[in-house]
Amino acid sequence: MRGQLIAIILVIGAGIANYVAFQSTHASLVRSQQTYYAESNFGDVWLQVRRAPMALRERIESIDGVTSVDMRVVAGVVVDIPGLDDPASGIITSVPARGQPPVNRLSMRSGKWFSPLSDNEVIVSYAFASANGFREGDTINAIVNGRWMRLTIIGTALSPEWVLELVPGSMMIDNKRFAVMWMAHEELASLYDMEGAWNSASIDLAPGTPVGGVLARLDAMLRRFGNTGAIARDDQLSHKFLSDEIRQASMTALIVPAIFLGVAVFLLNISLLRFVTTQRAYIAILKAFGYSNMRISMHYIGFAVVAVAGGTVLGLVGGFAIGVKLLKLYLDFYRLPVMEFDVPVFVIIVTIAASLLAACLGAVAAVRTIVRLPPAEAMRPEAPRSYRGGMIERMGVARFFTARGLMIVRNVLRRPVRAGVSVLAIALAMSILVLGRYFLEMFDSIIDVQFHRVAREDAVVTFMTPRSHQAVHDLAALPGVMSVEPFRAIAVDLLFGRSTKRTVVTSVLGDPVLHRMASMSGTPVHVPAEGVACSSFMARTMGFGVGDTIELRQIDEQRRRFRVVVSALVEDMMGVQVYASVGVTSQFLREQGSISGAYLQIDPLHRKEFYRVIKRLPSMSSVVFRERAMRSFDESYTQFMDISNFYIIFFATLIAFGVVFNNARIALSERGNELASLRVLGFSNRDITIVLLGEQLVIILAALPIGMLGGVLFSMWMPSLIATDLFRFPFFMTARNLANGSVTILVVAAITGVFIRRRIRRLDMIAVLKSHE
Amino acid sequence: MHDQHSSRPVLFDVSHVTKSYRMGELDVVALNDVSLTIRESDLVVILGASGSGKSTLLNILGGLDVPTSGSVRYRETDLSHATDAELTSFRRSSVGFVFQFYNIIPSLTALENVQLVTDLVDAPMDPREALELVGLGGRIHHFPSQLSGGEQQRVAIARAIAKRPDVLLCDEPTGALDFETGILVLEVIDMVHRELDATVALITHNASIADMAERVIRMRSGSIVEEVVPVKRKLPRELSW
Repeated sequence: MRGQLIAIILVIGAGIANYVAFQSTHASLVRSQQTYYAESNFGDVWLQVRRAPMALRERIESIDGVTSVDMRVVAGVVVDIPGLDDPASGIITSVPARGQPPVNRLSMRSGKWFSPLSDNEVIVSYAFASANGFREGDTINAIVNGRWMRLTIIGTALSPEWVLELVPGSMMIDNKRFAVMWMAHEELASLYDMEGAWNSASIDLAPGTPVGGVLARLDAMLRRFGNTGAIARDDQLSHKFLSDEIRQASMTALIVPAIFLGVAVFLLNISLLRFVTTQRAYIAILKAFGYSNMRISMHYIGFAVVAVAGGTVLGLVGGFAIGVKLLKLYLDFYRLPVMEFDVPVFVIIVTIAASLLAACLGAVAAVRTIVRLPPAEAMRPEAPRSYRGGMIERMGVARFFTARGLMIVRNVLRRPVRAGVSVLAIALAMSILVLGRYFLEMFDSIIDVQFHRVAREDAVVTFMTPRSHQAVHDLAALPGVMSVEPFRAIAVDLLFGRSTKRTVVTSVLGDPVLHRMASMSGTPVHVPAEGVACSSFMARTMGFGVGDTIELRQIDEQRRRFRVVVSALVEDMMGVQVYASVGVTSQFLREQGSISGAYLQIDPLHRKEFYRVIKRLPSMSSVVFRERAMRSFDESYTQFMDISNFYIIFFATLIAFGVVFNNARIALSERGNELASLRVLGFSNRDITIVLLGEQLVIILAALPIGMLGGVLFSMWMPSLIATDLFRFPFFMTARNLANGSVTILVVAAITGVFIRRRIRRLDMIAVLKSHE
Repeated sequence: MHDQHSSRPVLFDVSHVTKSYRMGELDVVALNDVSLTIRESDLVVILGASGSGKSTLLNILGGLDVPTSGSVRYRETDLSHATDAELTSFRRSSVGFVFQFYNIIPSLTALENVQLVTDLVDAPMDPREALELVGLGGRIHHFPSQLSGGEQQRVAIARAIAKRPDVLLCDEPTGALDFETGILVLEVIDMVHRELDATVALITHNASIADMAERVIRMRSGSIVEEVVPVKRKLPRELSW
């Protein structure tokens, strides 16, 4: 039983390791997040206005529940990083020159705080500094409110607002080319002509304060200052990502171990039952001596406990090792200052309890057998297996099989429950493989659609404020620019029924070529001449469809409203937006020809000249290069995907191996005499290996299509489960995915066959001459 | 030892064979300098009590085991130094086994059990014919669980003879059967020997069965102590124990 025990220990170990790793990581993340938020006084509410006076502080502080307010200046900048040709972008936030801000305090990693005589000094994020190798005293150039400035780095820090440093408007993390910076408030305010004013605020609320009421009061108070809408902590992007990650870790910590422990219980049951069957004589002797059923049962439960204990120890050790690595991986993404891995006591308690439960459940069949066995019955050898004509006889297909083929098929059909559960377990492993590969292929598809069919521009430039159409000509005149496709982006509230959604109306001239509207499959969607096209996800969430009339309310002081018919829905991939022609938005905006930015096609031969010029253009808020964005996206998620994929393949193959190996070992034990007889009759080891493993092949071949179907269903269900405003995933299934999963399962089976074949070689033919089944 | 039918070709030539096993820290000598010949068409009964070495001798003759020393030749082939593949091939083509506990495949019908071995060899007997020969023509589609012990043993005999082996090796073929059924089985073995001219080597502890043999080899403690040619052979029907 050693081989079976090892297989069971591995399956249990995998399940426990998964639970320990993810649950402990989850606990570490939660603890780190809570500690950090508490120590840094992470805000509860964020505001953005066009410009508002500092005098509003008292009014804001008078709102019930408000404990602290940090009013600051926040601006997007273009950054010129030494050694990089292409310009980078950044966000610069003001902080008090003396002391930390009252909300969202920075955690200094190196260097010093600002001095009262601060001049062009900045503190940069630790991630940005590390990615570029910056140290205190290094300088970077940036366009700050149209002014070319040399900024001196005086320190590096972490911020609770930037636990995840996502490039605004994208899903990318590019620590090398996205700078999070802080500057002394007076200095930054002066650069943006915001003395005595602010354009961004973060507010801390007392525990238990209803956030909704505070948001409503703030919106009403700040409407005339160009308020773009207050958001609560749950909508703060960095926090949202981290919280989603924590939630997913928690789910993974429950679902995956449950699957593994379920499979382990099944394997324990069939293995222990077989073991008890081979020990019938010993059980009979013990019963004859007067041992009670309880005492005998406890002995065999002990075997299950030993198996489970081995798996638990392996799982605890493995889980700790995996958890440490997992946490380090998180640390590369989530910039939390305190992130130590340790296994909470409750995790160990739950692990032990779950293991004991698995052991008891795994011994149920064996214990029932022991209890039912009268001592005299147990003294006799096990009754020979009874076969009758079955399904294949009734169907009349038995004649198409060889004798060996009939042995295989009848043995499978003789235990339909065991065969059925084995099929399901292997199908589950196959489904997991298909789902894992679907994620990989899906990310490839996202890159293909987003960066080759939607965004086909070389660069997208965004202005600090909308410009006149003259800007198109200015851009076209830049060196290397071959084509300019302007766009206007208008922040609006979309209203339908009782639902409201903050979104962006993007208007384009004619039918765009460089940056197109497209569905998840990459099929271009034309901007309707009349009405608007909306993201389908938003439409479904809000309950409107094609033909419905929605209301758009521009987010500015005037709050202009515009009713428009929805002409089309787009199953787009990123963000939730409204697309409209210039003709539609010009009615809405009552302004002609203004643009927020443009998509550019650049001659590769003149790329460097373009970089040189664009870095210094004063009106730029940001410039993003498609190729760089694509590479960043790929790099950001590839590591996670590779590790996830390895993880998925490893665990799925472990399930498949555990089931196939155990079934084959038990079959060898049950039918060892039969197989040895075949050897005596003149069958080779290869022949009887085929007979034995043929049963497993039948089970696998039955499992593969079920597994494919399961994988397809999981992959169809998953996008709807994880769809958010930021991201939707397309469903598709490739033949290659299904083939890969099938081949993996078959390879696992083949490897198992190698182990089984070694056992078959050791069959004792002599013993069979004297044995009696 | 006498070669009763010395004109018949020698099938097995066993010469000074010794077989010992390591059992923990002890060496157990199962066969001690055993020599004998078995000729074509012989019906030999090897008689001995438990531990006499008769099973070990049968194992070596059947290619299931090799001697520690000495030589065993089957016709011109040296079995003493054969590889596993060569022994498998030998068993497949030349030997029919009948076990004490039948060892027929429970998931196959009587017919399919015989087909299992006829699929292995060239020019086998028709499986139905083999089953008819042993009196099971009307039970060919029955599974072992639907057959009596004697019927199962007869299936085993049909399986053994269907591949037209050179020798039929029977290990206590009546050991698990009651008297009447045992006689029935012995009648089948006797019939196979007479009608198919098969060479039969049968091991047993039951001295009565030796009365049907052409030659009786008695073994004790790993050695042949006596070889007898019965004056008058009895028919199986005439045996009693």
